[in-house]
Amino acid sequence: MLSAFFHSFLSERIKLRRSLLGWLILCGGSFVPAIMLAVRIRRQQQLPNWHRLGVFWEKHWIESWESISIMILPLMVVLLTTLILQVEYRNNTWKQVHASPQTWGTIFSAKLAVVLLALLQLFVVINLGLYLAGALPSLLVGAGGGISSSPIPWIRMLARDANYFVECLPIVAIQFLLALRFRNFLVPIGIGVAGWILSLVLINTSYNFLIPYNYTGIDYLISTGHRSGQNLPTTLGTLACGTFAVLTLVSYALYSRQADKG
Amino acid sequence: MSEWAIETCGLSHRFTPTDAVLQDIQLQVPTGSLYGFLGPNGAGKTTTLRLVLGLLRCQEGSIRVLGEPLESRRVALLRRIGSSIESPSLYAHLSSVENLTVWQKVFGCPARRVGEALHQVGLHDTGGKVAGQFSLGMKQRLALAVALLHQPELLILDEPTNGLDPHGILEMRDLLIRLNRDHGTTILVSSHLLSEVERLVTHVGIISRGTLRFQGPLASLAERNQADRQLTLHTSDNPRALEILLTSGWSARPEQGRLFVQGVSSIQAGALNQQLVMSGLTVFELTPVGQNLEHQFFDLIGD
Repeated sequence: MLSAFFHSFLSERIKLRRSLLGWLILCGGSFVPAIMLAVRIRRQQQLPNWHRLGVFWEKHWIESWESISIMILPLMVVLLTTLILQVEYRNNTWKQVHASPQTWGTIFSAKLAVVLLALLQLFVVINLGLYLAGALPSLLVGAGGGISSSPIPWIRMLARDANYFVECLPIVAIQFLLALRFRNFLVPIGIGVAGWILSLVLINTSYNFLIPYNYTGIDYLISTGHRSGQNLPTTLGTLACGTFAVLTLVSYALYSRQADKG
Repeated sequence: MSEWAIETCGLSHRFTPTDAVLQDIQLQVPTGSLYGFLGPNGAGKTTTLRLVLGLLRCQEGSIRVLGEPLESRRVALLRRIGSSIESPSLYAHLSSVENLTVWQKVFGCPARRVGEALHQVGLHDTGGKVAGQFSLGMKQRLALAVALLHQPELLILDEPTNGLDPHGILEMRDLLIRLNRDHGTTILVSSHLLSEVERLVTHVGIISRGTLRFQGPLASLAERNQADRQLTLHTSDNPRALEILLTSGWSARPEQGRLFVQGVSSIQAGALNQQLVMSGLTVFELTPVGQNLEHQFFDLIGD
């Protein structure tokens, strides 16, 4: 079974060669780091002061993640998930996939794994981009006395990354369900963007956890002390994992019971 | 080895409660045969094939493939089947090698099979050109390569010659005959191109409006045809010829300046000609009608 999954996963990865996925991850992941880099270079006279701060990297990370967590991550998850599943609809290949010797479970899990891997790649690009956005300005413009010597809080940053990753999972599950069911890619993208906008509207209310399109944004606001998080019935991580598990099961049930598979 | 590569029993299907697309289909594709599944557009060919491949959930009846029930053995059976349903299913942004590699991973067959399958269909020199830039004929051939990749025992091809030029049709036909003859692959080919199937298949099934109208060896369809054969005659004196024919017990009628004679075999046609000549008539024309599968087909699919 594991071998079937592994082969199916490899096959899914090949399908995404030469697709827009790589560019989407690269552009989406480096969007905020590029802006941060431009800002640092524009304000190069302030670099020495920033570098003297013992918490340069932490401040740099916190500033950067504000827009990443609230805007970039939810929208990128909507786009990535839809794009990956659209490969079959766009090429009219679902019938060939379903006429191949794979269980519905293998097909479903391999596709989900590919989406999760793409999300992981997005996190890698974001983090690399943020590091470069912090390190490059002083090297490029020669101000600030080189890369800041303040310690990079790797452990804390990786832990935050892990939290954000988990908090993206409900969006993955919703979009996966929608993208599997609807041939027209505008439906999952439209619902995804509408969900994200609704979550932005609700983000300052005590019901913000009801629309799982911005758990990353809520987490950011709580972790930076802008919100207390007391309205949450449980931790965001638990909410995200629970929502992901339930929606994934629903999604699989709908998919495997589909009477017409191509 | 099972007698039937595909056997359906009482197969019926509806897309809406009032719309019966298939009714009581008893498909029997003999193992080792080259079976032509004929029918006009909308007759239910593709629906039947989708059911046989498990792409549609079976509502009524049963399906056995390669001697095993499809419902409980779907994945294991699909490992032994190659298929191409409707339009070619290809990833337009990938090259032919990449398209085949997608399925090579799934089927777990050796990587060398990618090159071999491309050679078999004559697409080994397409290089980095992506499938989206292929002509329809090349796409059909690539779809066939996908179906052949894992050297299946049963090949199910839905209208595989669509979009092929005459040379491509010939090549495809030769390839299918070779596969059937040299490797014993059972091949089911659906088509509405009757002349195409006539030169290719050993068995035929004719479906129309969701019901199977005929099934059996091509030879038995031809035999059935003998009884229904007609002749058109044009002589120097048609009224007299009609009189001679009717007197001799033939079922004949005049129509549009010709005579139509019913139920004449090729041997009888010779004797009939001789009889007319001996009676002093000159026979200008003696044309057998309804001798090819096409006429038989139209008879069978008619109401």
